Parts: sequence; structure tokens; C-alpha cells
Amino acid sequence: MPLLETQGLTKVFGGLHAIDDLDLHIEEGEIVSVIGPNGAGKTTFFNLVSGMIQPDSGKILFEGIDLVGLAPHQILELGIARTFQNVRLFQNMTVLENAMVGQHARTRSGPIRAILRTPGFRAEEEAIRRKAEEALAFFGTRLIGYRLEQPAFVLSYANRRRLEIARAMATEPKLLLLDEPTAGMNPRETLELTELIARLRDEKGFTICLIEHDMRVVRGVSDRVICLDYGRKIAEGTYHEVATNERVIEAYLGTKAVEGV
Amino acid sequence: MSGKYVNDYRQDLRLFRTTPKKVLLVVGLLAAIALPYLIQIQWTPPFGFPWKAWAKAINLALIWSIGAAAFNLLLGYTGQISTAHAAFLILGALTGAVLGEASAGLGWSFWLVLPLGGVVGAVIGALVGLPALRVRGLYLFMATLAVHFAAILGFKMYQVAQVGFTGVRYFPPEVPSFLHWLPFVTPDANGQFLIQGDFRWYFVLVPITLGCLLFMVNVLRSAEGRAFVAIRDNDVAASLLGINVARTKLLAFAVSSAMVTISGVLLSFFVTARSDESWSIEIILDVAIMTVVGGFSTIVGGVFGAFFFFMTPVLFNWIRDLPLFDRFTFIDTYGSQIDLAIFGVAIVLVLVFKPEGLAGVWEDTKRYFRTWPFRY
Repeated sequence: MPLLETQGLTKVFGGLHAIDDLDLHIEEGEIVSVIGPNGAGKTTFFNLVSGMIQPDSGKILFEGIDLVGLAPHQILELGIARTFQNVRLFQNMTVLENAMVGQHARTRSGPIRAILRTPGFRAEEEAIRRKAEEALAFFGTRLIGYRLEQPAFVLSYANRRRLEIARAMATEPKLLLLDEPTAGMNPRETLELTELIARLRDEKGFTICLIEHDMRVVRGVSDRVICLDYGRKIAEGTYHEVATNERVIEAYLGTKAVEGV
Repeated sequence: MSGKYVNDYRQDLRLFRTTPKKVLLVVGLLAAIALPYLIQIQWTPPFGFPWKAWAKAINLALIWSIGAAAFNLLLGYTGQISTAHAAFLILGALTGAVLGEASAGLGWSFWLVLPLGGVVGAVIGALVGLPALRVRGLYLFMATLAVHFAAILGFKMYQVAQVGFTGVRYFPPEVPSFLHWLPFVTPDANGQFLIQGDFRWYFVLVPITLGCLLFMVNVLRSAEGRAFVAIRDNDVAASLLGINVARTKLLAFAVSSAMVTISGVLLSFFVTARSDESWSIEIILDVAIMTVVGGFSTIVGGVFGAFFFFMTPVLFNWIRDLPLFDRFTFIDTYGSQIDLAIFGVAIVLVLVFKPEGLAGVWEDTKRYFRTWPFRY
């Protein structure tokens, strides 16, 4: 059984089929890249899977459980975490607190225990903190040390993206959805993140699905590439297979106006 | 940096971490105990400086600290603007009037009515929070405004039906008998242990206010508190990180409303009389002044704000009566309006020069002493 599977997934905005009868699957332990031109429905696909919007028809099965109708926080509890194309951090919280929020669904805290500060509560706060720091430490020294106590809004753009990934890691997901993780990063940072994505799978054991426009990243990390256009899957396979697929080239570059030119 | 390093998580979780902080806590407690005795001293300070007047101002500030901090919890931390604040003061007064030792009350003990007020406030608060699941910002402001007028109407209906137009009278509560052995608890002239007068109320209000503030601080420094701030900063991201946004918003409303209702019970029994005309929409503005001047998004900010709000008018009153101003009769005539204008100026000054409010000034002072003699 695949970790994630969609069957006949359709989402219509007005007259536009953002996702049109989409069938795809992601196996456990895979790194899958979703590519496609602007407006192909990549982010809509992420929004559907994470429960931000509901599909018009079709099924989204995660470990055999249908996610349709579930609230975002319920889907996260099942083990799907995501990052955003336009970074959505908690700006006024510190780096550490941002990561600690990630642990929210994995702990039971509750207001009464918090007010009484029972030993169980204290132990749990310690565990939350340790796990949050663990997630932050994955990015070397970039997010720990003195940075822990800095509010998120002072971070550089690249560090914000890293923090968003760390926050998603702290939720202990099975499937990690990364929406354009390298957008706005310089070539060196992009290279570094490409290696990190591979390590995320190899060391932390996450299954990863990413949306990416930078083809060097896609080539570098993907086990499998899925290309969407107008909400439909037009190609699937290894990077090389997809990159040389005629329909993919057509979707990105358009058809030749006159044969033979 | 204080030069003191935190070596494990447990140390980091403590509220009063360093020795100076603990010393400050003890000194603060001693000062708090000494304060009412100082105010009781019979003397006439030079220039007619107010002395006795502080007692009432401080007690009111203690009561309103709870409400201002609760307002901060809801608006400053969770980002939910609610104009139902005064409605919960009314709910507290109503709970006291119906259940407690009041004109037409059931005569239940004040010590039972007080926590019950909290429970009632939490339940009604969660109900009032329901619109927050659908609307936010200015729309929530409008939706909760209705609650304010509904509460006034409710109080008026009760008052007219049970008491009459004179308003509800609240009788002084009694010190519970198991505390009578304490050395400073002495019976009054009639051999009763009634809590009345500013001096006695002070010793009742200090522990209750501290308890309520600690309650809110503890909620805020838990996962629930982080969820509050997460919702304020980005509710979409919060829900995608496993936070049940609806539940958390209602929890914030329940906690905040419970606290305000408790302060409403305290206020009614402290001032001993309430009627439907005791509550105006200005209460919300008063609390907003306390929150802004005291400091947004901090619990101590509410306390600073409440003390500022109740203590500065005493000072203004004194200044107005100085011989220097005798010739300006309009100052006497428009006294309270001038007070309001000064509050307005204070808010503008705070917003321009110290957006963190008095709580920010307090932090700066602490930092100054911690790093002394260095500036940074």
C-alpha cells in the first residue's frame, strides 16, 4: 500500500479545473518532486492533501485513511506536515518557540495541568524543548545557540525557510510536503538545502514530496518526478524520463508554430 | 546577560530564576505587606499630598489588574478583540447578586461565589467566543459589542425584578473561620470578622490578584500559550501545525472571561453597591488604556496599566488643589475631562516613544541594573 494515494482527485475553482481527475501515489521512503508550469495545480494539490481546502470529488488516502473531510490539525496528527511557498512563520515568537509549536500535536498538555504545573507537565515541557532543539540542530549552527531566543522576524530569508522546515520536522511527520523549499535562495544555499533534503529522508526517515522549480534540485534529490499541467498528470518517472518527455517540454515551452523550423 | 547560566531545562522553566530575583520577590512581598500600614499612619504630608486616598486607588488597581491582564491575554496574545469585557464584570456582579450575600441573593459564602463566578465566566466566555470562529478583527469587535448591552439589560432585569431601582447592595464577606487564628486577623467592634474598609480588603485582594495573575502566566507559558500566540501570528500555519484553532480560541475566551468575571465579583463586593447604571461602554476604553500604557502582550503590563490608571488621577487631584492653580477655576470645573485628556496624551506618548509600555520601561530598568556598570 502506498503511503499517500489520490484517486480521481478533482478541485474546481469557478470554471477552472485546478486539479482534474488526478491519480498519483507516493511510496514510503520516497522523495517525489512535483513539477509543472505556473498554475499547473501543484500548490492546490498540497492544499488539498494538508486539508486547507476540500476537494470536489475523489479520494486522498493516507495509510489507507481517507483524508477528505478532515480538519488540517487532524491531518497533521495522522502524520503529514508541510511548509509554505510564502513562508508562514510565527513572526513574533522566538526560533525555539516556533519549533516548540511543532510539537503541539504530539503532546497532551491541557490547561489544567499547565496551571498546576504538575511534574508530568514539566517533564513534557522539557521533552518538547529537547525535540524542538533536535529539529533545529539539523541545520547545523544556523538556528541554534544565540538564535534560539531571537524572534523569527529578524532571521534572514534563507533561515526563515530553514526554520519552517525545522518546525515541520518537529511535528514528527511521516510525510513531509515542501512547497518550493529553495525559492529565493542563492545557488550555494540551494545546493546545501538539496543535500539536506536527501539527509532528511536518509537520517530522519521522512517520506518527502516537494514542489520545485529549480531543476538542479529536482535532479539532485528526486527518486521520481511527477509533472502536472492544467491539474492533470502529464508525465511521471525518473528525472531523465520526465525531462525528455515531449509533453513536458511542450507544457513548459509550447509547441512549435510551424513544423520543421 | 546576567552572568548566570542556565544549565538544564528545569532551571529554565522556573519563574524566579536567579538569586537577585528571589531577593526581589521577598523584598516585594515585605513591601506589599508594609504598604497598608504605611497608609494608615495618621499625619498630614506637606503641600496636602494625598495619603489616605492611595488605599482605595491601590485596591481598585489590584482588582482591575486581573481584568487588564485578561484583556491582554485575549487581545495581546491571542489576537482576538472583544468588546464583551465589561459584560463579564457585569456577569460577576450578577453572580454575586444572585448567589452571594447581597440584597436579594441566596446568601452563599463569598468564598464559594468567587470561584463559581470563574466557572460561570468560563462557560459564558466560551459561548461569547463562538463568533470568533467565523469572524475576526473589526467584525468580532462588533459581534461582541452586542454582548455588552445584553449583559446590562440582564442586570437591569434582575435588579428591577428583585431589588428595585436603588441597585443591588453587597454585604461585606467574612474571613473564613479556619483563618481566625492568624495573628493579624482580629475581630471588629462587633466581634465579627467582616472584610470591609480598604485596609482589610487589601489583604484579601493581594493574594487573589496574585493567584489570578499566576494562573494566566502559567497558561501562557505552556503549549496552550504558545498556541494562543501562534493563532495571533498566523492562524493558517497554526492549524497546519496541529493546533485546533477553534478549541484554542474558545479556551482563550474562557480563560480571559473567567478572570474578568472573578474581578467582577471582587469589584461588586468591594464597592458594595452596583446598579444597571454602574456599567458604561467606557469600561472597555479604560481597559484599553490600561493595556496600551501598561504594555501590550505582557501580563505585568496589565498590572502596570491598572496602577497607572488608578493612581495618576489621585496625583492629578492633588495637583489641581495646589494653591498655584487656585486662580484657574476651569481646572476645578473640568477636572475629570482634563484627566481624560492627560490619559490621551499618555497613550500617544507611549505609542510614539515606548510601544512596549510601562512593562518595557520595567524591563529596561532591570537590564540597566543587571548589566551595571556597562551599558549593554
